[in-house]
Amino acid sequence: MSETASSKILLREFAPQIERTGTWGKLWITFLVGVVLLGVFALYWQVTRGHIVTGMRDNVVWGVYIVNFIFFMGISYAGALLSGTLHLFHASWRKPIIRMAEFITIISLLIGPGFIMMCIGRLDRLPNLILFGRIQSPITWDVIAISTDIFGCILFLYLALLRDLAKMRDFDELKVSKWKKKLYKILALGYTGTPEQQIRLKKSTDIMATMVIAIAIIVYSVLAWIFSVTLQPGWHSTIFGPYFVIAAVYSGTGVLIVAMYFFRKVYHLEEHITLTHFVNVGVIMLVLAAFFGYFTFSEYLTKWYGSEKNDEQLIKILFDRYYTLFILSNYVGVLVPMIVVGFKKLRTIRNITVSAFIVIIALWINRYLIVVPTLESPYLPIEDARAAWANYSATWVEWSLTAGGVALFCLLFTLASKMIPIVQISELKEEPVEPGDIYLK
Amino acid sequence: MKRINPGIILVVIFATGLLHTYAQKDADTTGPATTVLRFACVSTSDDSIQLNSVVSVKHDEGSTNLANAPVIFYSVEKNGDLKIGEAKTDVHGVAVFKIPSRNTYTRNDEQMLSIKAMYAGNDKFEASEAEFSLKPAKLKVSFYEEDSIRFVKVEGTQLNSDGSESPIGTTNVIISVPKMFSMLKIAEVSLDESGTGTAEFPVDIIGDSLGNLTVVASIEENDVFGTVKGSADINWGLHKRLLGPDQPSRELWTPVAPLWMIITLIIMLLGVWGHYVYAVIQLIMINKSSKVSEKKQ
Repeated sequence: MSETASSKILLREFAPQIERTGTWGKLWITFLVGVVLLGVFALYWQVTRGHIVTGMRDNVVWGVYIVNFIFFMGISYAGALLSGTLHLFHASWRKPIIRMAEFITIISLLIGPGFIMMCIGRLDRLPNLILFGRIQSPITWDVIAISTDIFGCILFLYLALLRDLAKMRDFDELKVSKWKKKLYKILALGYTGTPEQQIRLKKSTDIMATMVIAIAIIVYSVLAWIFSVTLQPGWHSTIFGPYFVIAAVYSGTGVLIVAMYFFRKVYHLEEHITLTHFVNVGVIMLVLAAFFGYFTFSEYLTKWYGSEKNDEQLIKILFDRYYTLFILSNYVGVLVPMIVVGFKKLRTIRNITVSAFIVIIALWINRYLIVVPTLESPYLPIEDARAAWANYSATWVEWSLTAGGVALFCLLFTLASKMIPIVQISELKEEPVEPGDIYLK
Repeated sequence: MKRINPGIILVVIFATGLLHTYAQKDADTTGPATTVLRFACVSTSDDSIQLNSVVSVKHDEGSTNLANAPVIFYSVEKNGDLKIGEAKTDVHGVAVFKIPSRNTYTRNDEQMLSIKAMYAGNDKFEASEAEFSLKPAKLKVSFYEEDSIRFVKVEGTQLNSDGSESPIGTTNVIISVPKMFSMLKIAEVSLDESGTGTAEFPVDIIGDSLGNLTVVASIEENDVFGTVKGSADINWGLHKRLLGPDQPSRELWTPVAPLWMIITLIIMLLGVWGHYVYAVIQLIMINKSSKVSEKKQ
């Protein structure tokens, strides 16, 4: 079957998802909008009353906001790394899932930095970061890195979408509003798949795939360095860069599997996303689980063995007050995916998805355990040790904004799937249309 | 074999995890820690006595200063302790309170004031206290020049309970100037029976850019007077020459970043944004080629 014919079949299959939204779909979107509005209300509450409405105090100056920031940025880099790597290695099974990885990258990259803004007490001073920023400051590195990353990822996604946009522009049977048709036409840039256009698109996509991998590693390392260049127990570590990168890809793989599961169910993609896809991504998750476990063990073993006063105090807190969370994050979160994917009998779509969900929760907790216990271990004991000063506990404002962020992620994902098919329409290789056309692998 | 529903496992894991997130326990409470209070009084040249106390917490590895601890100061008198005032320790564990040198607190037979500092403690930290006795005194620093030689003169007086002043008597006084990290001793004089002593002022002491110096005379930890300090300013120092600002050093903490950092950043940004520009140019060319083929058609 020719490329055009197979694309048309796929477009006919996915057209209903783009053309209309069912009752359940509308309910789902309404629910998400409701949660987002709750987050907006919490933000209003925080802006009008100040940071006193959060659990952040003198000692613990960072709470769940920074955890959410690291988490969303992590899954974004994971999406970039996965889609870039799958593209460069020409993985033949990538077609049904690569679009999801690309959406994860962009959407989480738009939400993540929002959480860092919520930590800032004086947002009116934000321009000072640009006006008086010092190159020596890791915060400046982060601002440069994230803005570079956002631009690169949007460009990569756009390149990856271009052929599909052209196909949707040319698909007459698609019954969508005029503005959508016009948008497809503008965004398709007049792409018709001529040999010259194919070569240019392939070159730029390959280059951007390489770049997003490199940038994802650098940017997430920069994020890790914000912590590791500070002299704080538990943060001042040389392996924090690679540790963060591995943790990011690990959590992002989990998000991809969960997204695959839900879109498969909701859009009936059973024919396209099969057990093979879950096992393949699951195997990537297994390898990453092993690396993550190794880095975690290495990080805590060296600290524990060194018996440095503050490190020892931190480890004592982790194994005392945060014992359950520590076990959940660093043992359950590592062993469950290894067991589920490692044993052939356990490799079902549901089991892999459940283990991926555990990975997501475990990795969120992992970031919480990196941020909060360290800040709860001050160098000086506070005489007036009120729990609200020494210990951190997130308030309803912080949880509402967290829920709002997650809901916004789901909402944007849903809306994106209403604009562009969630599965790549164009073939991974294009066949010559006319004699003399080139054939691109 | 009956399979365990993974959903149930998930719910159990969630429930235990989230409960723990909410139910953070309070700080460890394994009995109050032992505290130590160190206390000393300093008579200063502004006719006041500075009551200095340091509160620290003892533990296996040594001791740590205790911040935000309320310290109450008392005058120890025959009829019982009389509260003078209260101060809280800073981040270094230091609480300071000033009282006038001429005060109405009752002195003992040797005309000495007895001051007590007390930290009351709480559930976490034990109480501790210390006492210090002194006779208020004062050091006056002045300068004069004779035959082109510069001298610093110190006059010491003690404040009697009836309000009168009398010479301190034979006592050693250290003369020093404050430098960046510590006091630089420049002379040591012995006060005579009239409470007066002089020392030649060195010619090679560096002052500020105008040669200004603060000269401090002090009696350290005397059995009767405790620590007594007096100071005065004089422009007898050498003028400090500031480093030329034309070549500022490139360090982590200076306004200008190290060169390697700037070069690395430029290389990385040029590399990345160069590729972005290339990709954008390719997109523009795709758009152009489509327009050309449209025209041809």
